[in-house]
Amino acid sequence: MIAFVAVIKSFAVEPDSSVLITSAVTEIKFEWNGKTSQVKVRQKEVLNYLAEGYNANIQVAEFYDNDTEIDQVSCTVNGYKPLGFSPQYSHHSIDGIFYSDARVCHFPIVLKEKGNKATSTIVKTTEDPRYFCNLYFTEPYRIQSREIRVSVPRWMKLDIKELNFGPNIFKTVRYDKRDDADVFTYQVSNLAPQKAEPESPGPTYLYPHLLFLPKSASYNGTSITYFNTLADQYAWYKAVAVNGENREAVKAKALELTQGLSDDLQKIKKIFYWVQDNVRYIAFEDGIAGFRPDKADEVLRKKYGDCKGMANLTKNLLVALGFDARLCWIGTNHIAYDYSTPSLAVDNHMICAVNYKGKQYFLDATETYLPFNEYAERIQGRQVLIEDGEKYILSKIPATSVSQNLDYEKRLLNLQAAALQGTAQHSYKGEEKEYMLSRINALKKSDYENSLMKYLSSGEENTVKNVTTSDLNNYDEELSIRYNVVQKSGISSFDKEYYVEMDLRKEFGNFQIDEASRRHDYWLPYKFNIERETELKIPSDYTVGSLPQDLSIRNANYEFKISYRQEGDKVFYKKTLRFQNPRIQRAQFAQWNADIKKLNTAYNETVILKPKS
Amino acid sequence: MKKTLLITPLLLVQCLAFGQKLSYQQKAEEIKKQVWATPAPGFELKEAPAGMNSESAVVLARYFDLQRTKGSRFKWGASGGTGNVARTDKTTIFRERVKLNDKSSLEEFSTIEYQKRLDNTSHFGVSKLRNTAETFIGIKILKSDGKTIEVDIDEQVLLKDKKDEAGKIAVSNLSVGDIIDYYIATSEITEGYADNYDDNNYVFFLKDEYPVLNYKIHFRYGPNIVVRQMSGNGAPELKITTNSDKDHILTAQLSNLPKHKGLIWSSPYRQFPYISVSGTFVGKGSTREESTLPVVDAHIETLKNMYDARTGVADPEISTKVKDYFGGAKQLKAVPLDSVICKLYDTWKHSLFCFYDGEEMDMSNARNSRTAKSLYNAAVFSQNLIDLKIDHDVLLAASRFSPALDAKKRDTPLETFIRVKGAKPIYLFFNSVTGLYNEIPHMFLGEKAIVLKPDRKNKFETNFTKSETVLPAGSSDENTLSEVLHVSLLNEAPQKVKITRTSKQRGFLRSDVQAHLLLMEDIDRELTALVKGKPLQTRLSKNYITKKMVDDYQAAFEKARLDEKNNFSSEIKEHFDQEPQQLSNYKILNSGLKASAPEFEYTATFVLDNFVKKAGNNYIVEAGKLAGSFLKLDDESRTRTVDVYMSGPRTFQYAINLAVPKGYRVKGLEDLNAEKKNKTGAFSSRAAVEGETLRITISRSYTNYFEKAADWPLLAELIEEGSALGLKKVLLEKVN
Repeated sequence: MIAFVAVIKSFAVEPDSSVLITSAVTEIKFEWNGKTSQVKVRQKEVLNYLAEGYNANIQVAEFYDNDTEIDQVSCTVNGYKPLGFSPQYSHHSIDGIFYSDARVCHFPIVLKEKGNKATSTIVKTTEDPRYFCNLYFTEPYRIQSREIRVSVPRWMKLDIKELNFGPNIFKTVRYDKRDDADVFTYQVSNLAPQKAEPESPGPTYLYPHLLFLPKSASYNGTSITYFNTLADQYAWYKAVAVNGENREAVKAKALELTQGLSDDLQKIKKIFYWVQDNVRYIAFEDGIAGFRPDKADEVLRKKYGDCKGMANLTKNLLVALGFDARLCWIGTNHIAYDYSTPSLAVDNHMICAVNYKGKQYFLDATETYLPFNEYAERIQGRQVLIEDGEKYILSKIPATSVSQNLDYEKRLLNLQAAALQGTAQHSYKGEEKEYMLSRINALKKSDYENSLMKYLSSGEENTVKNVTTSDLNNYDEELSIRYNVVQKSGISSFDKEYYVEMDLRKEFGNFQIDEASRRHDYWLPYKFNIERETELKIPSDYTVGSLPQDLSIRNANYEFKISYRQEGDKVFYKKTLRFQNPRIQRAQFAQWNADIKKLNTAYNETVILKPKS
Repeated sequence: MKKTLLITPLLLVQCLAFGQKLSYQQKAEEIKKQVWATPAPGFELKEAPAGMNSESAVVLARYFDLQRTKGSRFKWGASGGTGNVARTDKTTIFRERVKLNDKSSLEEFSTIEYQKRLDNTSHFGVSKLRNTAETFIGIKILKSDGKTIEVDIDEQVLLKDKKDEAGKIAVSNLSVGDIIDYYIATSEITEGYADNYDDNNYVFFLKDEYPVLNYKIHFRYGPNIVVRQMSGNGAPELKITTNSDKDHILTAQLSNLPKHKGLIWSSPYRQFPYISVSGTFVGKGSTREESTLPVVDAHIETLKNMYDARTGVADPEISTKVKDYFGGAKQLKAVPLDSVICKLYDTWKHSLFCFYDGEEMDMSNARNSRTAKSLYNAAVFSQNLIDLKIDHDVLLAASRFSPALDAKKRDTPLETFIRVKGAKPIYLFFNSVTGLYNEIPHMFLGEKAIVLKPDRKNKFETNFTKSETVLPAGSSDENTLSEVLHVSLLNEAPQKVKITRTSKQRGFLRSDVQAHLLLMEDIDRELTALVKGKPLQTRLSKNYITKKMVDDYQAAFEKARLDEKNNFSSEIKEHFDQEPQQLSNYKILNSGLKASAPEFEYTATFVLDNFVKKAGNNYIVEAGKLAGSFLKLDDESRTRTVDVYMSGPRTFQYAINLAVPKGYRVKGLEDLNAEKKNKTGAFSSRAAVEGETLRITISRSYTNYFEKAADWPLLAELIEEGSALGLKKVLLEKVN
């Protein structure tokens, strides 16, 4: 369910930095389509390119789908149509989407000489203004000047929301008597190119753009209401979501799954975990079908579905058991908008809500290993639109704290034969557990034991034996792993003295962010909560020579703590890396890097054990 | 049952290839009926054997069928004229029945993507040359309760782009514990395209990601198609028969194929059983005898044609340039043979690799991966040598990572090169821009070679006298990496080390890094100087396409130079397994492009993290890791039952000079001393403090490119010494 979330022009290859768009003009016109008695949106975009180097390679791409059409494409290079000019129209594959109706019209322009110029012109029509959601000012190339003109006839009610505007964007409004339209003109100069970076916020946070909010139209006696209010958007969702269900098959499955269970909460969990575990997530995105959940019985039969289908199956299984379960629409944190701006661009995901004993629980079965009543970072705190018959409920997913997640490890070690030997135990909760279980389940059964031991050993020279785990299929409980370990790395001996590293994992130790090249904020996937404890028994003929200094870094976003203490014949090491806020803003990069440097310095310190005599 | 087996493939061909009046849907239905009804070993199995439950998946049965026929049809306007064009009909069926035991294999088999239709037909006026392909699939699931469900293929989604239609299907109702039985059948029709063995080669390694219990391979080729097939490394021979239509039928029925496991230092074509089958059409103008020639003989025939003035590739440019270089033909006679050969070779490299066509403008290090066609270039070079009356042989050899030259029915291409006869033989290989005069690429060291002594009768006829030889095996002192590192703890951050590293590499050890770091602009300058060639600007101006592109090329070179720092940085990262900081003074000291200075040498200064631990007032330095990362054997790799194929004999040497900070002394030196020597190689490490410098010298060498499996423990000893050293540390102890 992603089609209307800002498809920006991204390429498999890095855009050529020697290309400059000297001027770009985009005209948007909302027009009445007499044939369909609908408003259509015509967009004409003319981009003028200049090569600032030799062999400048321009990839022109315009996206469209079942609801938009490319009407005209033309190109000139130094004033002439290129020989053999032939735009290609092909499917556009989107990472993580099995099938979508997204298509792309694309063609290359090569400007051989420095100073060569080219112009591309593309005209496209969107048949329903609800699908015309947003327009970006930026391109993959630098822009010297850009103008966007939006002509809104007075028979149409449309809000234009201006987002991420800087001081270099100027707007004027004039009345066009001939078209009886208000023309909004935006002019901007010197725009940096878009830049794709891993772990960055979605484009709606990053680039200046217009969000179009069509409210209604009234033309020659025909009136149409689009998304005048959120209620209209909800009504539209409800209408497209209507899908005949075979309730009997679903009910039979629900009863089969909960047979023998008397506790309602256990029944809800059973249904949720069964969908998580047995329905494969496969994403489909196909025009209006991109908003229509697959029938619950079909998802049940196929044992795969996208978020809509999985939500619908979860809901229907629960409803079949008499629970108050509802479909929900939600925009993940990839999107900067919320439902205060009714638009198809607001959400990109569906889940299920169940109201049990007055409490709303949200069930997102696409998060395969996350337990009931725990929420993934991507939906935490987000607005959620819950179905409620003809009305809707606007609520929020609980913004759970970092303590929902935990990656805990404790090692009890003795020094024997120049190695550290002992036992280790791990506990994983929340998204830390989900991450670990998804890695374990991606392993081939035949490789599972070796691969897990390799991961746990944290060093090729260390050995791990007698690994036991909690039930890997029980997502409701903490995941725990226990084993025996022999650590040969992290210990050195010189002149009978031992130098011991108390922590071999050293998470985030090298996590410097390149301040010079990184343009966007860095978003960690979730709120990490890492705790490590090591208990080292001091040999009877040894004493502690020195302990490293403690480390304590704490701010509103994260906390790094390392402490050492000696109690009796033991040295205790404790580390906490806790992220209250997983978003590292660009303005914080310098502080982040300084803190990471301190963390790494602390990691590179050792405990010294000296012989008593 | 036997009858069905013989008849079914024919029906399938008729349906797949010749039933053109049927719609796609009708064909799909016919094929479905046929495939599901065709018995093949193992497809009746409903469970994997006990004991295989711990496997991720088990292939209960696999079947591959290929049928290929060739005919000709009269075409109006074909290729601009009229005449007969050859038409090939090819059908393949791949069917597999797999027991899924975990989520990993479930994920792998949960979707199938395929090219449903592809039409690349070319139109010429009223005529056309067909080039079409259609693919049909079918899927059944056997649930653990014994129930069989056939997946509705209409659940597929289609990605249509004009004549290109791809299909994707998510397999419904598939769970862990199920057996999936699916087929992918393809029908291709091509008209008028050239045919050759290489484009129609099918190789089946008899090892797989999962255990395979039953495997049947079946080929049927029309009578006018000649077939090459080989079974390597103990793979069973294909059973070859002919049917009443004189079709060639090749079959193999295999069982209990083991699961493949990744193995370092191996050569699959020399070690693992495989079956290779290819076929080509015998057209007019070539005889069946020519087409059925063994690869080696076919190679020699092609070579012969290249010496024929009517069909050949003679180009005297190289010898003409070399004559000019030495001041004329007369003066050339006075030049020692090795100098002439070296100059000829440099001239060849310059002519080929420093030629610019105005099309390819990428001057980044990707350009250095271009390879020459050895057969063509050796033939041209040889004819220059004949013109200069220089006695030489043309040799053919197989890479150590391809089937052996004398492998029965060998069917893969050979490398062609030259051996000039003199006081010592001089070998000339025609492959990469970094290749050197008299340097044998590592994959041919010690390999058998066919020697062809050319005897030119006249400009139309050259005969070759054939014999055999074995190429030199090389030695570990010809392929060396020698590094000097000056290391110091950073004053402002003693847990970081500053390293100035100078690396010298020769022989095959240099090639990859040389190609990674050298820039085309520098290569051009150096090779041009070597042959006293014309400046780039002059060469560009002589070509009508490139004469206006001098600035374009300059810009392309400048663009490539912008990546130079990144190239050095990535090389250091590869060596030390971390991103270098504060990279400076990076430069190439010697390009290694000259035979007289064959070492590639470069230097750089940078800072690295994580080599120093603080211990009270002292510092622990990870001294062993300063030499880079060492290979580490895991428990499973310590024993080995298959022979060892390495890149070549080689030596690595490191001289590490660690500046001991004032007020500190070094402890732990003794742990850095190690020595191990056996017939497979040697390892030594020595450490001593000299003044204020800790000097560590490390040497590791491998004597041979090949060792028997029985000698693996000896090799493993050396590897373990290296990995043990990689863990060694020294203490810098504060003394006052």
